[in-house]
Order: sequence, then structure tokens, then C-alpha cells
Amino acid sequence: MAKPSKRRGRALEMIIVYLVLGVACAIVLYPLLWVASCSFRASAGLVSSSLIPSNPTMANYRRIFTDPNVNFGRWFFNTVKISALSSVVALAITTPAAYAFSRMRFSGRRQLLIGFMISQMFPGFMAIVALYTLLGWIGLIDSHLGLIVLYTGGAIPFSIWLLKGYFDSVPKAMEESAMIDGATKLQAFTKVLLPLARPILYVVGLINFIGPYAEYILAQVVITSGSKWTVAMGMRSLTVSQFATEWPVFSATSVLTTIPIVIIFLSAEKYIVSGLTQGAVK
Amino acid sequence: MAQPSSGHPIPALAGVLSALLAGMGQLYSGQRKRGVINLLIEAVFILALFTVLRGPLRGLVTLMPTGRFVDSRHILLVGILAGFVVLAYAWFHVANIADAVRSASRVRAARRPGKTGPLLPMPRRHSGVLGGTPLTPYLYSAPALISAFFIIIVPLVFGVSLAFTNYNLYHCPPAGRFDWVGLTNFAKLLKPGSTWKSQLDMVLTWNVTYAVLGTVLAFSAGMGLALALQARGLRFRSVFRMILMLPWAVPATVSIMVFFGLFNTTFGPINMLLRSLGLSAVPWFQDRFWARISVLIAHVWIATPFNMSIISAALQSIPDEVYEAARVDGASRWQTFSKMTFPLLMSVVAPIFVLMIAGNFNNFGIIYLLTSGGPAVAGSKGAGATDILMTWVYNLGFQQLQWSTASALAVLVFIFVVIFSMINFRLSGVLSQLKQEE
Repeated sequence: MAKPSKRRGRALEMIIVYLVLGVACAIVLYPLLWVASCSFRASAGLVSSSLIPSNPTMANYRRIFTDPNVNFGRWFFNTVKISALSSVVALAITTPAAYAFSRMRFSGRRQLLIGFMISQMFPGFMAIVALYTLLGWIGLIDSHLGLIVLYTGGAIPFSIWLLKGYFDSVPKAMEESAMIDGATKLQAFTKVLLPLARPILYVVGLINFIGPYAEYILAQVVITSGSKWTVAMGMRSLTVSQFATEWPVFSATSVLTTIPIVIIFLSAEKYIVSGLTQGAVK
Repeated sequence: MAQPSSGHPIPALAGVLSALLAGMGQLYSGQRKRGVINLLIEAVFILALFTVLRGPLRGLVTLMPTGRFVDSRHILLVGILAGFVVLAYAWFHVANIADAVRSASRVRAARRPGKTGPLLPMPRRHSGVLGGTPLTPYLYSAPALISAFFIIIVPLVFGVSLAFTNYNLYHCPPAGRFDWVGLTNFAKLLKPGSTWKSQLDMVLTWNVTYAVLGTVLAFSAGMGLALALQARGLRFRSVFRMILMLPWAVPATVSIMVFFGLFNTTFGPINMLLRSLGLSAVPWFQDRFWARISVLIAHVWIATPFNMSIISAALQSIPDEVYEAARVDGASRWQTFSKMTFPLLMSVVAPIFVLMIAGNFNNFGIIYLLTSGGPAVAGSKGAGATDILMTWVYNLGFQQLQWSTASALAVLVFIFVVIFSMINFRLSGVLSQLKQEE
């Protein structure tokens, strides 16, 4: 039996809740809608704070696929190629390692796991000079392979921790009974554990795809020639040079770059969020 | 050599023998196969020491051009690789001594009077159905470990080494060469009263402010939204949630560049809006204070959804009985939150909160892409008002070619972050959990 005052308090609370959520959504949406609207604005037009372009045009989208100076198709292809390969290779080499760290006890195990954690705390810059030298030495500067190697390597510690955490939560009993039935160790791993761990494999694969997808700093250090640029490099060049005139074109590229990632992220959100926050909240 | 097969090997003697020459202790206690293998490994290592490893190791010490390697960076890199071979051998040698002592005492125990029969098998840490041979775990992890060695470990050691050299514009390979200079770079950075020190203080102060304030603000915003989303009877919950997650879904690089446009002093919509309201435009990137505010705004926008997700998960892990009990005891909503929900929440998310502060300490991208460290500060060593240590380091390296100073700064950052994180891990018990697993 709620007293009237309590009911009024509750109504007030709900108003505050809707107000907070509404304002937050507006703050979240404004920058995104603004960029989207800029992308339909005539080039060379002044940027406006209004969200509805006065003379909507597709010219910017046409331009990013036809203007040889804004080679979005090429940037996008490069980006997807680099991200996908980095992700697949990282997954392929870290999954068996995570299996070993989760299921086997060997000397150096704990030290290696702690080492992986510490390596994540090193400022990335410290490695850049050496990586640049190394890549230059083996002729991988200004090549996508060089960038893939760096992204793959950088993904190792984090991926191993994430995969190991998940493997730990899968009971050993299934693998053990498979091995008693005559399966080899490798079969127990590939035929029993991996199918059970499919969700985390998707998560790690996706995270390692999204990471390099819009990465800028390393890409800029490794890649020099324009035809090898990634999307992030191309976009940065548009914002730095001639802000006012190129902004609508930049907006069009950001819309096209963002949409696929947002779709991937939101469709797998449950898994990605639980993968990334797992361990944080026990 | 002492007589093995019939006598009682003395563990200490076995250890000493193996220390002198790998494998001798094992031979002494009758373990022929293992002894010969260890002896061979030592022989190969000594041979290598006088042939392939000699040049690189000398290069590591002197950094002088030798034969094939002229570029100081290459000399250092090859030297580091050779150094790792030596370290690996040292590890093997120590393990070999321990093994000699262990096997000697095992043989001794097995041959005590009255005890006959075969030797007890070595206790194996790898037994169990999932075990395999001792090499199995290394085989499984070899691709990852080898890649991590070359892409993470060697480059990091190289980076740390540069902090002890004079690699800069005037000593820049391939034209020039650099040399070891000991702690000079650190002395320069930490000398009281110097320009470097005052710059370091300015950058560090803002860096800590940014890391703490940014984390706290994003955390508070995330908590507010998580609590709002939890409200009973809320409609369109999943729609709200989906919209609020968007900043996480959008690639951060894109978001930062969009904020770069939003804050643009002349054309940006924020200033246009202010002007249309009759207010004066804000010099977002030109003024030290406003530039810092713009960094914080962009940071909170990007980082809030992550905080929101974690806090939502943590809130859901608090059992309903807790709220029920509080209600029965007649606690008000505010009391329930401040006395129950918040402390419970913090006990769950405290470790990741500390980890986020450590992560934001090196949050390079947001500063680099938004303000590039600007606006410039008078009389500076290249550090701007919004520069954090890592963006300053980056500029020192890539723009001013002061690689050695930059590396020394990076080492200081690393030490800072590691101490911070280690305290956190100790508090949160990650390390003891690993120990328990063994």
C-alpha cells in the first residue's frame, strides 16, 4: 500500500530517469548526426550547427569513389584486408597458446602470463623505434605485411589472457572423457574445447579486427605511399588539410567507415561486452 | 671422476660438478643420457660464444661498427639478440645445476641400504590425462611466444636501451653513430631547476590530472546511466541502451576526428551555436584551459559506455535480497545507494577502476588526434599545454629526433605505470590467483 507521497516521489524519480537518459542520448547522438548531415552538405559550404542540410546532395559520396585524391575504395579495401588478416593470424597463434596456459602446468607458465601483463604496460612508443628499424631491415617498411605483423604481435598478450580466462571456465571433464575414449590431446583441444569456446573465439576475432580497423599511429609510422593508406590515414589527411572545404568529404568517409563497424559491434554486443568486462566483474 | 653406479652420489658435489661443466653432475650420479645431452649443449654454446656470438656481444658492449654491421641501431639490435641467447643459456645452466642436485639425492635415496629395485620415476608436473610430454605446452605456445618475443620483447628491450644512449639528431644513424652514455638522459630530465625538469613537472601534472579526472568523470557518468537504465518500469530500455552504447561502437579514431571538427573555433558547430545565442566563441584549441576541457569532453563521450557496461554488470551481480533487506529496515533510497549499493559496487569494480586510470595515463590517441598536444607553451622543450607524457615523448622522437631523451621519458612512464598497476594487482589478488592455479 503505497502512500500518495511515496507515489509522487516515484513519479518524480521516473521523470529524472527519463530526463537523464534523454539528455545523455542527445549528447551521444548530436556528434554522430552532425557528421551524417555534413556528409550530405554541398562541398565548400560553411559548416553549420543545424542537423538538417539545406540542399542535401550525394556529391560527397560520389566524390570519394571517383576523385583519385580521395581514394576511399582503395583505403577501405586496404583497411579490411589488414584488419582481417591480423585478426585471423592472431587468433590462430594465440588459441593453442591459451590452451596450454589454461590446461597445462609447465615451468615458466606464471612468469610468462605476468610478463604478458607487464608488456601491456609498456608505452607503445618504446617499441616503435625498434620496430621501425627491424621492419626497415627486413624490407617491410611501407608494406601492409609489416603492419599486419605489428598488429598481430600487439594482439598476442591481451588475446591470450582473454582466451585463457574463458578456457578456464570450461570444465575439463569433457576433454578428459574424450581422451579416455581414445582421443589424442590435439583432438581433445580441436574437437571438444574449441567448439565449446566458439563465443570467445568470435569475440577475440572481432576485437582484433576492430582494433586495427581505425588504428592511426602505427599505420602512419609504417605506411608512407598514398596507395597503401588505410582509412584512418586518409581521413586524417582530410581533416588536417583545408578543414572547411574538405569537411563534408571527410564526413562522408567517416559515415561509410563507421557503419560496418557499428553494425558488427551492436550485433555481437552482448558477447563483446561480456568478453571485455569478464574478469573485471566476478 | 667419482664413481657413480655403485656408490652414493653426494648432491652438493653433483651440483658443483654441474656448475663447472653442464651435465657432469648428472654423469656422476649415473644419468648418462641426460649428462651427455647437457654436456653437448654447453659445448655448442661455448663454440658459439667464440664464433657467431662474439661479434654481436662485443657490439652490444662497445656499439662500435664491426665488420658486417655499421648502423648503430643494427649493432644494438643484433647485440640484444645475442644477449638473449646468453640469458637463455644461463637459465639452462642454472636449471642443469638444480637438476643435478635433485637427481643425485634421488639416486642416493633409492640406494639406501635395504632399498632395492628400480629407481622411482621422476615426479612429473605434467602428468594427468591432459598433460602430454613436458614439451607439449611449449609446442602449443611456440608460435605466440616466438612472435611475442620478436614483436614485443626485443623491441621493448631496444627501446629501454636507447634511454642509455645519445641517439639524437647529431648522433643519428645511418650517417652518424650513437654511443652508451649511462644515466645522462635521466640526470638531464630529473635535474632540479632545469628546463627539462620544469617541463616534465608541467606535463606530469596535467597527465595525472587528465588520467584521474577523465576516469572519474567517465566512471560517474557511466554509473549515473547504469543506475538510470536499471530503474524499474523503464520503457524503451533497450533502445536507450543501444543509443548509449554507440560511442563505444564507433571507432575512437573517427570519434576524435569528429570532435576535432565540432570544436573548431571558426567553423565548428559548438561555437556557431554559442555565437547564435549571443555568447562569444570559445577558443577551444588555442587556450590552455579550454583545450584541456575539450580533451576531457571527448574522453568522457568516448569512455562512458564502457564504464556503463561494467557498472551495469556489477549492479546485476548484487543480489536482490540486499535491496529487500534494506527496504525492510526502512532505509531511504539515498541510504540504500550510499550505504549498500555504492560500497558493494566499488568493491567489485575497484580493480578495473584503478586499471582504467593506468590506461588513461597513456591514452595517446585522443590527445594526439584532437589537440596534437597544443596550444604551445612558451619556453618549452616542445611540450604543449595538453601534452601528456606519451605525446610529448612521441614529438621528441619523431619531430625533434631526440630519441634517447624520449626513450628515457618513456622508461619513467613505464616505471610509474608498473608500480601503480602492481599495487593494484596485489590488491585485487590476480597474482595470488595465478599462484593458486599451479
